[in-house]
Amino acid sequence: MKHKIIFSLIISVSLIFFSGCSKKTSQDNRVVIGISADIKTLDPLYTLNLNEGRISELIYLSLIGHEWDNENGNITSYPMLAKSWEWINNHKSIKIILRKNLYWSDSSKFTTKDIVFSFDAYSDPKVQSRFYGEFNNFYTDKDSHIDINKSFDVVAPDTVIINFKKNSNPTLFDIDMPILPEHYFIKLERKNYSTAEINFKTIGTGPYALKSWLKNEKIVLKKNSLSYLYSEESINRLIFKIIPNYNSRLIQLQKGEIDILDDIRSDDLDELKKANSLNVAVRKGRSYDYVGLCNIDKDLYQKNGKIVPNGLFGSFKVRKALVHAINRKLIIEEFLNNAAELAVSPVAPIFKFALNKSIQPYEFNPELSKKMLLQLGWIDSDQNGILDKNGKEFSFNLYIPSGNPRRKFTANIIKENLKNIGIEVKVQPVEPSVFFNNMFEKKYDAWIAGWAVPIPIDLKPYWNSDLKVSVANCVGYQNKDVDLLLEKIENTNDANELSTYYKKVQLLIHNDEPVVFLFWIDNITVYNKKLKNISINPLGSIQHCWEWRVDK
Amino acid sequence: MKSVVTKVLIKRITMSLVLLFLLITLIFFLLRISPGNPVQKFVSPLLSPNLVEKVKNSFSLDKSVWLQYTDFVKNLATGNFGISYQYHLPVISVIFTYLPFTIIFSLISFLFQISFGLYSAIKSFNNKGKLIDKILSKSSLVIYSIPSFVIGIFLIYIFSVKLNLFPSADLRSIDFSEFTLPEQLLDYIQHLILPVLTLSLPGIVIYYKYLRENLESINNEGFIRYLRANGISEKIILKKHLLPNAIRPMIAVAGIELGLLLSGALITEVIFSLPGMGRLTVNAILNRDYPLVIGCTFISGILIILTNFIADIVSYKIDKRMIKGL
Repeated sequence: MKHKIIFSLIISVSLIFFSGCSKKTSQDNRVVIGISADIKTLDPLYTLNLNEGRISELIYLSLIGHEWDNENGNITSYPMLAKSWEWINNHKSIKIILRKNLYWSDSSKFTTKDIVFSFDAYSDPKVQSRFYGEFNNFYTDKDSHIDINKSFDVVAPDTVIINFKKNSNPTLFDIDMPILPEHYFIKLERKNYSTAEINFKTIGTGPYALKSWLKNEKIVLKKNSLSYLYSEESINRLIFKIIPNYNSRLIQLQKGEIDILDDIRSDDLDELKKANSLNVAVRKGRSYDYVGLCNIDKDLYQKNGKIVPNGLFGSFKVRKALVHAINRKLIIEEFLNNAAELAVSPVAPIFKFALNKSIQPYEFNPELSKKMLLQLGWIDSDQNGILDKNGKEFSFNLYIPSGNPRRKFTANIIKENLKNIGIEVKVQPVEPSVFFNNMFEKKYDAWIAGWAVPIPIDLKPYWNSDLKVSVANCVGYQNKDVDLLLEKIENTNDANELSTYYKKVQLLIHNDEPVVFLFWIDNITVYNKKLKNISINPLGSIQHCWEWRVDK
Repeated sequence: MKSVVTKVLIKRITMSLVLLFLLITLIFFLLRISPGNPVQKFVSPLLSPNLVEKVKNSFSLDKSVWLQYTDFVKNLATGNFGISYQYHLPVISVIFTYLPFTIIFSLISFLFQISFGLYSAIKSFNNKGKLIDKILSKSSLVIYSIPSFVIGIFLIYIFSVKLNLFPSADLRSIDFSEFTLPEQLLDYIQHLILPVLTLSLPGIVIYYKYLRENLESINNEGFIRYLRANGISEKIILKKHLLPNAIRPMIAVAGIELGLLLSGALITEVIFSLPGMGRLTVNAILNRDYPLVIGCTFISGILIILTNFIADIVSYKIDKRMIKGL
């Protein structure tokens, strides 16, 4: 009995002690941002994933910055490290004048050498940076390494001219790379950049600098007083807290342990809207899900590179028949809680300047679908419930990445919908790493995946017919008219021409329906009401976070 | 006797090294033949196939598997596991960022499992047929049948969301560095109570069940009846005869359990956002980070072999005849 009393006492005292202990916390001027996984590096040479890029861009600035122009649905540029710029030499060179008194966070002076070095490093095959191979408008050698002597003229301590190839059509995005500190990297061998200490101990020009990084726990940024963007009123500390479990992230948001969270699932919206301390921001997304239907015979293409229409999905008429048979609205209503929009083409509705509003989504009409397939000769000759033509049944494997509930739900709806019109679908979940590898290597006839449309919008890698150039054209889509328009888009900077070409491309792709465009998914961000001056736009929720303020 | 022990030790260490080498060789080849491409995520869709090939070659995956293996063995001989594809850091330094937490967390949980398992089994045995015995027996079945992620979520809901007694996740508070030493210690304890409970509850039940049944079966042995007939007190019978005999078979189980705990407790680490080996290993596998997977396997292998070895030594200390089993 005595033991029981002592034991109970210990438990009660401990509980009171632990719960009652309030430690001094400096919650005043800081913001905690929830993220799902740790980042691997902060070195802009290698920041591959979204969070790495978002955090790194607060530490390393580019010559120019970008803002989202909601009215035109496009981005606009503004000066950052560059005070101003001027296109010269018939738009084949750009003259950049730097801001005065720019300093790195280790107090070293920022110079034009840093700019030249950065472009050299980004394009060096020995470095294998994330931008490697993307300098098509520059003078490069056969390994895509920028020819520095031809490309850069330092004409004054604060002025540099960047020369582009004669037949190129350069834009500001060609020089949109975070600038690296030459004085740090110069001490290292190029092949050792990927393992350099700067991955974890940063030297930047941005409004924030790395304070600490506890692996798989949190990344803490503090204000960089040497940055030209420094402001007394900015948030003192940004804390990126790594919480792998979605439900844990949600609990912490509701308890006020984190202040801002992206990628909220639509089925949690209603509950979060009820919370007095939270603001919910729903913005139209630029990511879409699609059903990939291989347009070409994948086996022949892999065997000898020949492009022959796919036996099942080679005809646009068949693909259109399939779109009519799939109830995409049902998926949006049932799974996405209406936080999505039907997709009609690969241009997201947020890109207002390029959007062809005249295109209407294909309606859900199984009867029409049946008719279309009948006209194409697909009939159920042996009465087994599956359509056939020339002795071949309309049956295929639909591959999906495992562990993705949305795609699993979509696949099951598609399976049911297509069964109703006499098509047999076998859903095959595959481990994501294997799935994406096989998708890029064109090993599937049908699959469900998604793309995020890049900013600035670029359709060429996804829809150009030359499969050796367009690695992301996994369905093997072929259309010479689309190629021509994409070429024109690449060669013009005229806003009106761009708008016209994009609208035409959309119409052509919509008519061909190379994939079944499913839906554009809304991005939902929830943040604490104490956060002020926050702008959630397609460039990300923490973009320009140095302008945030905290309500005290 | 001493020379026998030395011989056994040398034999055991040699065997362990061979086993480890075979294990990582097996993993090396399994990774290479398994589908998936570690380079895929490093390749931009904007790259031409020639440049894609260049990126792939930079990972040395263009060489034949045999050539990769000989390079791997040469590096291994110098203690070099290579550079992690994802972290751009030597594998060993990545692992040593996560290993200390896993060791401390596992040891705390292990002590919890052993002590509470032992305590409840003795309590239950001493109160055979009474209410406490029935409660422990039935509740252990219920806990055993609940998956640990459900236990974790349940504990978070009760103690964090509803009662607000403990934090819902993390190893320490955000302002941890600003705390005094006692506050830091308290902070750790507060953060670790729910994860330790989640990880320990199923283990406690296993030890309880195991020990309770052992105590019962040994209690029915002739020599216990003989001791009782000779008027030896129940306390002495329990302490000197029942417990040592009941615990002995549990030592091997404890060795395996500790080894598994040290390899990482994935579910608990994910639910409570803890930086442990479980998460590291699974992420390495999902990202096809070959060097890191091999490094994690090697460390887990060492820990499992080591804990089993310790368990055998403890068994030997209790009963010298166990030398044959070593």
